[in-house]
Amino acid sequence: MKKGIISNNVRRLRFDSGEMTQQQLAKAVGVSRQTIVAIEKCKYSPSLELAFLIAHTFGMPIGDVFSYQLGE
Amino acid sequence: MSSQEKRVAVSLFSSIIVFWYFITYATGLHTGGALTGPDANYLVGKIAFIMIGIGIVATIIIHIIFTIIYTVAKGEQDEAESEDERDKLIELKAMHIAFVVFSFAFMGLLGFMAFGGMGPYMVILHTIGSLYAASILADCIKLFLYRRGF
Repeated sequence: MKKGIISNNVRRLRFDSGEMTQQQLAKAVGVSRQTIVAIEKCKYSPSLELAFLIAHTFGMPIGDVFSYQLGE
Repeated sequence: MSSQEKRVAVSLFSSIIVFWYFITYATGLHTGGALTGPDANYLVGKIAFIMIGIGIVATIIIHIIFTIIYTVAKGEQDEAESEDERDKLIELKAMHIAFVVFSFAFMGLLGFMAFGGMGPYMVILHTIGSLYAASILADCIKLFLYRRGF
């Protein structure tokens, strides 16, 4: 099974949302600031629920926040 | 370093200290011939309970000392964050790997005993040692996963 790569625009969307801090986003979705840091650095792939929560916080569809590419 | 990583590092440090104490104590008993004497079963049981007690006390003391040092050095208190999904996932992965390693170690020890290479009391002591080694391994894996990601 091919391994895919999940990337995201969380950092850019944070800045576009009134320069929201990582701590503010973390508090809004109920995780630690370190988890948001790991998500932005693509070191951690969030659960489906967390991904939806983040997208909902930005008021955007989940496909505009996270993207998936199949590896070769 | 996040608060969770610090907590894992302190846990790792206390596990290493307790493990070192256990090895020193058990080796002393073994070289003194106490494990082949008439009180061997009593001593092995006593070691197990002592190590549990020492482990708990040492962990608490080291956590307190670390908290004091951190507060004095940084001038602020380390805010403990609640566990979220990433912390739980890292804990799960680390425990899974440590369990597999411990299982292999335990099976190896039973094999030694089955082929007459080791007596039952030594197997028990080595099993306790393997538990501590697995705990240390789990903490190392957690630190690795926190740093590298997955």
